[in-house]
Amino acid sequence: MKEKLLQFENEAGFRALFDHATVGIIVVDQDGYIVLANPITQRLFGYENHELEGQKVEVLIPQKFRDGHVGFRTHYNRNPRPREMGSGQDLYAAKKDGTIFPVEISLSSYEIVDDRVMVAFITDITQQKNYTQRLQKQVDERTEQLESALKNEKALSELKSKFISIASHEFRTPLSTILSSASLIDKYIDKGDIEAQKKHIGRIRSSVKNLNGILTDFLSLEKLEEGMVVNNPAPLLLGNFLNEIIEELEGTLKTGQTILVSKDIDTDEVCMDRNLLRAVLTNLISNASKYSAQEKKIELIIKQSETLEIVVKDYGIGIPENDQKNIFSRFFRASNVSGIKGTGLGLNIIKRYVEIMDGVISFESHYNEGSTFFVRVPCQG
Amino acid sequence: MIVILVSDIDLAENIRELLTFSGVKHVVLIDSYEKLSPIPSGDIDLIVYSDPDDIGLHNLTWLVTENKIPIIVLTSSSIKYNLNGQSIILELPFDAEELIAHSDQLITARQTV
Repeated sequence: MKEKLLQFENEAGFRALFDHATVGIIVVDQDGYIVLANPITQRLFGYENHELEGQKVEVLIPQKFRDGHVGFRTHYNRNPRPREMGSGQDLYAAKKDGTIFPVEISLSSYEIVDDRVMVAFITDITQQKNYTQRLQKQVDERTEQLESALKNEKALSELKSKFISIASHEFRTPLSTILSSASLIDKYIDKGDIEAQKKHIGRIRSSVKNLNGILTDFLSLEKLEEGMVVNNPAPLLLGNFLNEIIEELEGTLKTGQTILVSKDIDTDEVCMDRNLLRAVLTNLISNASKYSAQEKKIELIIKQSETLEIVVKDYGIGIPENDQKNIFSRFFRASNVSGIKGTGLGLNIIKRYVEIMDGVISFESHYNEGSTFFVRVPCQG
Repeated sequence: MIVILVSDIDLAENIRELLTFSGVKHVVLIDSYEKLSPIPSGDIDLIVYSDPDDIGLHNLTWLVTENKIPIIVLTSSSIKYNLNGQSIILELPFDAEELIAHSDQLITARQTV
């Protein structure tokens, strides 16, 4: 057989084609023995010149596929026609040292005198495969990013729908109070009842304040969602700052309520975000007042060393145990606050403010006994 | 008797004052549906119900169809309430004179029956 082939390959054109081809070419007889292998095949598989000739073709196939390949080869011999090998499948070849690498193989056959030989054209596709894998990885990563963005977009859309629904209710209720108080003032003017008029003017003021509070909460939430709230620490005189806040809040307390302040401060000047800290303190103290009866005291304890610790304790209605796990969730309101105005946003917003300041917030609460909120934020003297 | 089921106390009191101005003698304020059950339905001439949620909507249907109690629903949503002619839907913020007029009309209709 080899002599016949050599006779055939004497033509210089064929020799050049065979030797300089950039794909591996092997010629195999009907019994599966390699008759010829071009130089690139030898390099590709790590064999010396002519080392492959006379070996079974299965030597080029990974061990685990060898038995199966004998069957495929026999099958091909029965109906030899040009085709790709293992169409649609990943094909692998084995080097002399056992290294496995991906290949593409085309099969063909031809007759020489009275014998038929099979020809396999072998291309190493390691680079293409690596490139495809890298591309696939990028596609997977981008898909994951897109899915995540889509999920966030969907969550934001749901939030906006809920926001609009709640905003509609929360705004329309105080607006109804304002409008009905205005109608009642008209009626009391006719009756000359000054006290009733004053009561409704107060109710209008209170409703406007309520509306402003709702608007502030909603705008704060939107800023948080858009990532526009950042921590901007700046020098702050803690003592003066606390006095200012307490002075402001004392004017909003219910009749007889008092804020008892206890301060343990190492150094008066700290470096913190004034606006975030103000929002946290104001919200916690306002809540303590809102959810406590008249005459109840509110305790504010401030300790400052490397961290600033804020404790706000009230003796109000407390948070029912079943509601405690949701108390920082957006729009959540405890089951015992019916009739007390609120959006369910305040604690969610300040928890996020505290986290923006790299701090933590926690609480303890007992139904009908009161709640204590603990905030700890790092500060620099 | 008129029952005002409005959780916002300022708004509830304003509605009570408006109805009192129109001559209604007995008005009860409640802040949740549960507080309605001890009141005998025969004593109730009208319920003013603000912004019912899904459960509230179910309660409303029951009150109107089973107990034939007229209701004025104050709503901030676009929910289509499927209530019969004994009931009125007013959008928040409502017009005080409109509330009084509907209240008079529904009470008169109930007392006539």
